Amino acid sequence: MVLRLEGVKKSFRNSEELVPVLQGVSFDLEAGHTLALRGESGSGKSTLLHIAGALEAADAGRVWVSGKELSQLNDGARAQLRRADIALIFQQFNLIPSLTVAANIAFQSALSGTLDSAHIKHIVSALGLQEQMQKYPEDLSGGQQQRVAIARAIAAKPKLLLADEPTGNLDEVTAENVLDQMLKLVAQTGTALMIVTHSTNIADRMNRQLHLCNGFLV
Amino acid sequence: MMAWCLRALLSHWWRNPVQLFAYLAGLALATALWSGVQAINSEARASYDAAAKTLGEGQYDLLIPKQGNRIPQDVYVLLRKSGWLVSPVIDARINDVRLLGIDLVTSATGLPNLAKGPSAITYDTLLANEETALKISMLANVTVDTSIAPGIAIGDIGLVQRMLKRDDLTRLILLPNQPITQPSLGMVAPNLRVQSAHAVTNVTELTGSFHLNLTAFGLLSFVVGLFIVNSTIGLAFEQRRGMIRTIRSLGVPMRTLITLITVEMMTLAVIGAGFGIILGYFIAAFLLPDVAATLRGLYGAQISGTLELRASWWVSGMVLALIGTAVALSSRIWQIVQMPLLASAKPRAWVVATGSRFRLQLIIAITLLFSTVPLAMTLEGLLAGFILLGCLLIGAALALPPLLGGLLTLVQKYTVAPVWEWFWADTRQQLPGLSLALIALLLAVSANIGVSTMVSSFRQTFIAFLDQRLAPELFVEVETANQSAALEMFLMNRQIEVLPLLTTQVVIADLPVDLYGIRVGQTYRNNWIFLDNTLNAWDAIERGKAVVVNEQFARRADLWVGSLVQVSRDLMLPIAGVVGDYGNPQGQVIITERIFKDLYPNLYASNFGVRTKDASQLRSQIVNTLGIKNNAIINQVGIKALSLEVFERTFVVTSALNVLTLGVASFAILMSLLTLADLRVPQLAPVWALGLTRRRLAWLELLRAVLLAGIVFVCAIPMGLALAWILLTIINVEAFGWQLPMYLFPL
Amino acid sequence: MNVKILFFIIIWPFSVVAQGFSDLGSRADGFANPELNPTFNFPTDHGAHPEYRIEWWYLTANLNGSDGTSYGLQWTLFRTGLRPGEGPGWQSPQVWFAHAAVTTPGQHFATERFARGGIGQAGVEATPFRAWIDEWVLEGEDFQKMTLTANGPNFGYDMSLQANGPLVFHGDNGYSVKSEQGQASYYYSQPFFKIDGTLKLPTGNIEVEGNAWLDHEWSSQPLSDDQSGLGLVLVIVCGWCKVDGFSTTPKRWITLQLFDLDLT
Ligand SMILES: Nc1ncnc2c1ncn2[C@@H]1O[C@H](COP(=O)(O)OP(=O)(O)O)[C@@H](O)[C@H]1O
Ligand SMILES: [Mg+2]
Repeated sequence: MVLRLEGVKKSFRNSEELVPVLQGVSFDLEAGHTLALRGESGSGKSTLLHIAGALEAADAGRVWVSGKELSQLNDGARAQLRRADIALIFQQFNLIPSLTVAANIAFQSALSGTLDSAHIKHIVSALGLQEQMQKYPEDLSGGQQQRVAIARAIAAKPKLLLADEPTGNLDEVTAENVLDQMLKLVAQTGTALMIVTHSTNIADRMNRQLHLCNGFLV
Repeated sequence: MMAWCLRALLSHWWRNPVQLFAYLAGLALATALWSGVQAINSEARASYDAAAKTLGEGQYDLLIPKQGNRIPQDVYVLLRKSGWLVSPVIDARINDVRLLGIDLVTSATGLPNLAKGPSAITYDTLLANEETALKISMLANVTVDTSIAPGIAIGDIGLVQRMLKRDDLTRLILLPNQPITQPSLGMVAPNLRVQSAHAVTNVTELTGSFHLNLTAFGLLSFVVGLFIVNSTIGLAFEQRRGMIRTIRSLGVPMRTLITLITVEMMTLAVIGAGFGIILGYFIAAFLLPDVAATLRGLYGAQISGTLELRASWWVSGMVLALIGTAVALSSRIWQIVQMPLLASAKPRAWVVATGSRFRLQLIIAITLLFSTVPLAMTLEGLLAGFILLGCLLIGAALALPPLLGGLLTLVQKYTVAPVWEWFWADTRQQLPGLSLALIALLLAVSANIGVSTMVSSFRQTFIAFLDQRLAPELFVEVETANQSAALEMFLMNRQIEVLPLLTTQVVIADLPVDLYGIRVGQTYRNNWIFLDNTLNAWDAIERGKAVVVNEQFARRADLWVGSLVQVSRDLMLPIAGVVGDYGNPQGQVIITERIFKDLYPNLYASNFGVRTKDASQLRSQIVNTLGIKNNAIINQVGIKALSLEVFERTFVVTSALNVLTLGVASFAILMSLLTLADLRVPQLAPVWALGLTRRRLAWLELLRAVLLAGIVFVCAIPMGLALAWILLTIINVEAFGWQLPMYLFPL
Repeated sequence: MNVKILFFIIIWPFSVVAQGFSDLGSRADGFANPELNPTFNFPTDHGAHPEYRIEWWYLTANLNGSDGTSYGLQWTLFRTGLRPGEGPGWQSPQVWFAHAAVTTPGQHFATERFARGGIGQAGVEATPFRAWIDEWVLEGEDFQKMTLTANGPNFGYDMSLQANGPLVFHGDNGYSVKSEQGQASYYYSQPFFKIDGTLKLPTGNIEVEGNAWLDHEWSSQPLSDDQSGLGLVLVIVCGWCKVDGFSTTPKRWITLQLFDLDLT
């Protein structure tokens, strides 16, 4: 089991009151499987993804990634998990503004010591980023930045790929292309993919679909 | 992992070179001013040490002539043959170099470099440092020895006598361990007197205050510099928050990241501080000649005009810079550690001012400011003066942001137009971000106002003083009693007003004092301005019923008008007047000529002031008929110019530091505004929506900067004047021994 | 004055010699050398011989107080020439050094004086005989009847001397060979002085009387190629004076050591 959530709860403090976002979420995701997460805006999809990506801690419940229970790990071990096993495509891309596109794409795999130039070259051409490699993120359009973020995640060859609305800024053709790349990775390396999307098209291509509503999966 | 992480961190500087420059420049400026001042101070201290070692001054009692400054060599031999253990010294100037002849065989101290080997001194070689050696190398063989004090050349007494074409001595060092039986000094050498070692004013002590002044300036600029460092570090962190979040979320552990950031920032700090030390060296090298001139002019202290790279100042600059950086850095790192990983990317809450912090700041500020009043009334001493300065400066600095905040709230309340309401509210919001820079500006501007007030007050007073003291057109110095009498006769016969000046050194009220005998006349009555005096003071003095003292004496002995002064064993006279005597460390007591001659019948006047309309003609007459050397006659215009030059130079140093400090403060403001502008772009977006053009917005931003700076300037004026008051009435009195009247807003 | 400072001061003048004459060799430095079969010319030869490198007048006495307590006394005047001969004023190449001491059964008092030649601070004149440095004086109408004074920070003495025997000439009629290489000096003594006077000690003045002898020796022998050797020897002499008392044997020891010590 690559990812397992058990009774995960999370709430945020909003000025005075405590606003519950996740109220007990449980599910599994196996290697080589894909999962679409759907829900209204503000329903907590990104929060769930961050918890699964070891970026945020759950208030209650337990989360396992690659068989390790996150609350048992210290910062160093969680960081190790993040760079070696998990790749997260952020909704806001989170590229490093002062590094070139090439460096951004190579960054995570370089950190984990799994840099594979041939693999990267392949992804870059598949995502149509060859022309942009020496540019800086601020010189790219939103769609191009999103593709860089996706390329960075795929290049890291993670066990768990978490994508937060990865096709939101892309046209349909490119979106298809991007999805193909992710699924190809799943097929080749047995990656587990969890994707947040509003698109029924995309969701239909996943093994499983989950809906988040009022803090619960339905 | 390290390499890629560092690559990401450093790429920020690569993409934002202005920020890198600001960081390095802030550190460099802070370090430069501090280490520059330290360099000057340590150079001076090294010079004093060398001088003390070279001359052995202040260690031994001396025998000096009661009159004049020459001792026949026979007197030396006679003293030795009577069992007085003394060592001869001849001390004179040649080519602007102080030439010191000693007899190593009898000297108590020996030479500092003797340990280096016996070849260092011979009968026909002088020792001097490199600079001095150049000036006298054509007169004698000179061996360069860096341990010899600047401006001094030492040689065997025989050699120095030959160089000076003299066969007499200047003083005798009274050696320790005198034999058990000895005839009294009066019997052997009635024309000599003992000058106790303590009476020789210690140069280091005198100049200490001057250096404290410099150090205070250095520290002030260092603090201002640290404001810059703090705000650039802040900027760098604010701007890299997103990057730090991303790097962490991609799997870099916090520990690694913190280590790398610390190494990165400290390495840059070392580079910046290194530049600063180089810069400081140049500042010091640039200012040193003026400092040297000042110290020479004020205290007669010789310090070297060339700078050496001494660990004491560059290490202290580096260490202080690194500590400052580390402090600024650790608070930022602490913030990152405290915040959740994803939240750390959100703009900090710093833009929202908390009222409670302002209130606390205001309370501390008011406490400090109010404590200055009792402090000013009770504390004494130079250090106390600086504590007072510190309270005033820190108090004002802390009070500034809350005061500005209150002012802006008030203005906002009475504004109706929405744009302006937004403007005031927004300005108030930015206060916490700007406050450090504004404080730096306040400190720099008020220091500037304070010091320029002091300098102008000084100059006005001093020029007036020169006019009164240098009233006679000519000053003539004679060497013998015969010349003295002849000159007086010569001038009296021509009906020329002559002002003989009798002088000797005595101890009054346990202080070494110059006792003067003067001929009270119109010149004194018309020109001398008393700081305080009795009615008809000059009449009382002329009748021999009172004395005049200078301010230095009055302060040190705490004897003022009306107090009695023990002029000699049997003579006690009241003080009829106290005169200002600027730029003279020595105390003076002035009595009428007649009484002086009664007390010291053997002394004759060796200096004369002469009143004449035609100075140059009289000068040549005196030279031709009396055989007095031309260079023994000084035209008052020349003295005046020389004295003024000394005082101008004193403040070249101060004003240069002033300008530099102001420059650093302006730089701090600029950097802070840049930081804020960068962070505020997203906040401006809604205002565009309000319908303001970018152009209008830019103008408003500029207006805001000008407005804030303007308010700071207004606040700095009372601060600066308070500063000047402390400098003039407390620090100056402690440092120089005289008080200056304060001229407000002098031009 | 401690030994270290003394060392420097003594060494210093020799550096001049070392510099000025180093390439000339020690034999050709212009100083006169003692010759075999000397004929002394008194009283002139009681005075100084600036053409020779070193010279001293060395007086030692064994004294007794009225209560029978024995005391020792010593008075030495050394002369060294940086060059042979005299010069005007401070340019004189002569340097003078003196040492005076008194020993009591429990204590030792000693002090030194230094002076440059040429200015009258120190010297030795033959007629009338007068050897002085500062206020220390050994003088008399002739070499038979003299007075002696010295003062230090905590002691002093005033003595009278009366010779009651002839001069004694050492070695070969006053030509005294010091080593096999032929180093030699002129050396004579007056060993038969009656002495009496006052010792001024911290505990008070003490009237004493006893016997004294006076050596006068001069020579030009360099001690070694290293000129500073002489300085070292003088320090040893002083160190010895301080540490030991007086007896007839150590006195001989000094003069011998001065020439025999190999310091290279
Ligand atoms: N760091 C945070 N602090 C406070 N509230 C937050 C934080 N992150 C998310 N929220 C709130 O939690 C809810 C869920 O947000 P999110 O997970 O981003 O929703 P989604 O991705 O489904 O649109 C929202 O109401 C959001 O305002
Ligand atoms: Mg979301």
